[in-house]
Amino acid sequence: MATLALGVVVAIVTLARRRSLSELPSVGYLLGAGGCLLVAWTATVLEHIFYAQALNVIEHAAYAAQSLLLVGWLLKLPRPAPEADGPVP
Amino acid sequence: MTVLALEVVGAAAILAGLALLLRRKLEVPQGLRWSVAALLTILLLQHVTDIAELLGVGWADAVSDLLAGGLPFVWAILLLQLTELGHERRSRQQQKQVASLIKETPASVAVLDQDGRLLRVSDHWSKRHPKTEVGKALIEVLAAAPEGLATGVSECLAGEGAQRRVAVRSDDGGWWDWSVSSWSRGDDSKGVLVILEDRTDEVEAELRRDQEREELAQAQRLALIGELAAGTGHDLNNLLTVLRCHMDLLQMADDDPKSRAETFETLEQAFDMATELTKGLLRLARPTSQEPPEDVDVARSTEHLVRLVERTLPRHVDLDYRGPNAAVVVRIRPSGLQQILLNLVVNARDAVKADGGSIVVEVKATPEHVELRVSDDGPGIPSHVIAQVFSPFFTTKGEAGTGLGLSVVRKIAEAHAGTVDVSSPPGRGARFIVRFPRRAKPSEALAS
Repeated sequence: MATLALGVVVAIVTLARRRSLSELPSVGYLLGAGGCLLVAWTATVLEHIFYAQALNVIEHAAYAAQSLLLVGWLLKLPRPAPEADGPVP
Repeated sequence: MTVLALEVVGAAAILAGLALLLRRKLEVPQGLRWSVAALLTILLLQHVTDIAELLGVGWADAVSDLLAGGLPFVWAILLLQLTELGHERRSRQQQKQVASLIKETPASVAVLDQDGRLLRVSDHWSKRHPKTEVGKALIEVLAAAPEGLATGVSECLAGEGAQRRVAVRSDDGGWWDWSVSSWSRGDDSKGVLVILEDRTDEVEAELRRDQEREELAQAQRLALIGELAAGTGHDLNNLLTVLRCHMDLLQMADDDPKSRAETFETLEQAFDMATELTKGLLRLARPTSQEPPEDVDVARSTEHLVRLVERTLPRHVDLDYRGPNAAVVVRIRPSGLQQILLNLVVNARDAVKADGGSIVVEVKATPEHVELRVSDDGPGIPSHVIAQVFSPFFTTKGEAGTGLGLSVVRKIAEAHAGTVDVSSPPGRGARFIVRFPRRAKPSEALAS
């Protein structure tokens, strides 16, 4: 339950800073991975209340999806480009 | 079984991700690389403990929960670092856009740092100044630094002025406008933006317009002199008649010394008057464009001119002068003052000449200003045209007027930091007031 609460806080902060994050390449994969993690944590909490078996599968599927999306993000990251020179007005 | 398969897939994916992170060069800073590695490691351990839990290992569940609790913190750190990276990336992109904008702008633009050295220049600038090299001082790359540019750059760097403009004439005869302005570099230091603008066409057109205006004003002035000449010619003819008669008297005169002396005195007076008349006309006809301003006693000059002009007026028009006895001095081109007065008096004459009337020329002085007032008791100026009377080519005289007189008056007044106003109460004539700044300390030449 505490993990889910912390996760929600992180998600809110992420939404507040989405403008800066949107400048990064393939950031959708990363945000997708974060979303999967939230789903997994939610399923972990809910499985103690109802549909234990189904929610357990969803929890582990979300963890697996998160791992795949993170790898996808790493694959999409570009190679380093030459640095721009000097300040400009 | 499904859950175990999912965990195995997840663990395999994370292992692949870690291998990718370690082996491949990625566009991520070192700090972010460590955060990603930490996240992947925790996730791998979580997958492994989940697998262990599914295989019946007792302690695995507790370890998995512990790892899950650390995940939000690692994600938070990772997202903070990514936000910073995104911010830097956007800033770099903006820098690139500005650099491209400066480079491709179709004008000569140079950006200087706080030491006056070139940071960026446009392609247009580079073509115009082949010695341009980023890092060099601006003055080094200019074949000939225009006067005032270095001062403008220094002042902008010192924060003493946001913008300076320096107009210069280049060696090829063109006119260029150097615009120097400061820009904040975002770290409390200032740089300078230099823009070189070709204004040759604009300046030459302005010069042509000035010349045409000058020629028109000169033509209008000559037309006025022509009007004066008719009256003056009449006076001159009278004086010549006097001269002729007295010369005849001299030839016929007896040897009475007293009578000869009187005749000579009359001749001398007639000569002096004729000389004064012709001198007055010559002064008026003198070309004016190169004449420098000088300290002029407006009272005395106006009185002399009024005496000259009154000979040209019809008998039924009275011209009266009222002014101070003491000198009231204004810095003005003498011919400018004459042209103002002639235009105003001729206009007043035209206003009153139909059925006669009077014109009053006054000079009034205050500690700050000298006013030249010309009033008439004609029918006045209709209220619907009074706002237009100073516009060039506006005339109420039809074919007889050029419409230049009052516009020339205003142009001359403004050229000498003066103003001109008109008032015309219905049925009570018109009054023009030309106001000039008074010279507190007239030149020694005038004083003497």
